[in-house]
Amino acid sequence: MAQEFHSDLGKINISEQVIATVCGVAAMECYGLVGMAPRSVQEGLTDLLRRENYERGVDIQFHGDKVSVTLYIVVEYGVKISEVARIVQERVKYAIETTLGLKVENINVRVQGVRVTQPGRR
Amino acid sequence: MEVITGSVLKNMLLHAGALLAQQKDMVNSLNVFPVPDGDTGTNMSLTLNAALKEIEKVEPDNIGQLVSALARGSLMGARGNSGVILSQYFRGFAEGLADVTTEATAEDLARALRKSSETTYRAVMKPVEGTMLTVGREAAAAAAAAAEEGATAQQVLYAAYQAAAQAVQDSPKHLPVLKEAGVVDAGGQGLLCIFEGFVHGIEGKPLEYSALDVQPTAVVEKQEGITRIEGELVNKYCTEFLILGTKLDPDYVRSSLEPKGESMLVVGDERVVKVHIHTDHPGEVLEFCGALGNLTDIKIDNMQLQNEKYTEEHQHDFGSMSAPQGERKNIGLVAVVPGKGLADIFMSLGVDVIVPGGQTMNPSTEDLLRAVESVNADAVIILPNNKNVIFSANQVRELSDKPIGVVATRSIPQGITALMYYEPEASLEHNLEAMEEHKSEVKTGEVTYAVRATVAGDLQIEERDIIGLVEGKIAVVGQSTADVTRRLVESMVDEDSSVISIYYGEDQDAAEAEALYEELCEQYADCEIEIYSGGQPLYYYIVSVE
Repeated sequence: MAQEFHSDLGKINISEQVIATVCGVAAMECYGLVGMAPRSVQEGLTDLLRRENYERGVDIQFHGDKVSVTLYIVVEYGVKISEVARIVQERVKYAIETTLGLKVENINVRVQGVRVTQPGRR
Repeated sequence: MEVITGSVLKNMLLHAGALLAQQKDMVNSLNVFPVPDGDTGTNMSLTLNAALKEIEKVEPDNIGQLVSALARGSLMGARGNSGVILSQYFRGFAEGLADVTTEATAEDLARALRKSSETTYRAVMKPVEGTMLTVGREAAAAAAAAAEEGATAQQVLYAAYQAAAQAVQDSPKHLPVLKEAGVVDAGGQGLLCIFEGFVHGIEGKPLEYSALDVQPTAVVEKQEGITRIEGELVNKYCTEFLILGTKLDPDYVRSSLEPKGESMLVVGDERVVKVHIHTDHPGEVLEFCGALGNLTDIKIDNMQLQNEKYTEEHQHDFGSMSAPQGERKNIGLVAVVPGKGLADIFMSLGVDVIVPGGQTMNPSTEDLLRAVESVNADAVIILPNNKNVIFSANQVRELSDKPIGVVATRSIPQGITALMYYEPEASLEHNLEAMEEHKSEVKTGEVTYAVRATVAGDLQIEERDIIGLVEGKIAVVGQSTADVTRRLVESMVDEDSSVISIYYGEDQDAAEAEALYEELCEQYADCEIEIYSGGQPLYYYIVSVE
């Protein structure tokens, strides 16, 4: 499903994939987030997605003219996860409102994984 | 200085905290949009302060333990994007010094700075150059080079500081948006402040004030100074002093004093404990603590008298105001408002509790929650009246037991318009729907000054220029408030407009406002024009057109 607007000249149609990409790119600019996770996690296996298909970690739903977004993210071990998630919500909302002109109903963030690159000594 | 001891390191961190607290407004002003706004400096300062509080709890002799407390405190206290980056930076710093006990050498310091930088790069997908990350990396590289050449720890720190300063200077080269606005990166500048504080600390400069001391008093000032106290004040003596001793136990002091008053703050260690408490019995408090050790720097203020004096002197300032509690209402209203005059207007329109706040003075979620809880009503509607407050307001919805609705009003005029559609007897849902639907019928204009030079569209803006904003976007630039306001109104009024309301700010001359009013009445004879003293800071005029 896509979101449609009507202008005097005709229809404007923004595909769901575009919205998902905008959300994915905005999320990835947030410090602490190191990847998007696939929406369905099988057997607890969360593999990091490559950057080119970031929209896969983003779920878009429309309620009337408002959009509801769920992001499945992976964060770096050692950051304050609650704060990173909050920043992701703010940035994604900002990106949707400014670049797409859509109204946001809610932004849900699901932290699906924590990446440990170098185990700390403590 | 050849090596750094634990107490020197602690001193460095305290200096960094003090300097950052002092400079946070400057860092905030580097935000790329030229309205007094932005919170990078505040976020970094709060994060660092949280870390310093944690440091106070450990003995400074062991460096490994000290930096571990630094990492832990900044992690727990991380606020905002820049705060999260800073907490990662300190985490790396702690890893680098984990095995160091009493003295950190030049190599140790260089390694810690390298680890700090590496750790910050690890937690980001798309590192952007020209930011705090770059500043940390350049500092680390310079530190490593200096250590290699056999420099002392102090020289290594100097090298890092100079490289950081250069990297901050260079940040506009990496980021066009900074170049266009003529500023350096805010987060980078914040980190530079920390390095500068380190340098002051290692040079043994006296600490003019500690960020830790400042914060509690700042909170207290807010309670004493701005809150308008009605009637007789309970616990009216603000009592502050230090206990000097040998085996003091802050926890014991804290739990013993707890029942004697409120707004209590007890910090310290075995040798010195600082006590701050609001109480009706300062004598009992002093008597009790005097038995534990020597008392010094005793200060007792009567807040009741202070407050009366303050209220007289600051007619324009105001505090949270509450309507007299009557019968329990169906739906109560809480509004966030930046000035005394505006507060009176909102109160006259039926708002139960006013929380002072607005641009650059956002109330915390806690302030809002307290206001909501104090309303004698089954459900409460919050009017944030500023885009930066909407988020906190929404959080209250989850924290309060009462059903809470937030009408996402982004400006004062939107708030006032929403209030026109408030029906005390209707349901919460009905009210929210009506207020939300109609709030955008009004156009909002604001007149303020640019905090620094920038370019907006094809408008060239110099620092201190007067700017007029329509719905938060710069529309008019000029030199005088009257001229800008006139042109702003012109750009907002169209043939459908019927009411123009003007609220002038606390720094605005009433006579000039009156003159402007006369002029507008002549020019827009078709419209009804109203002018009020809003008393808001920062904005000379707020204009609403509907």
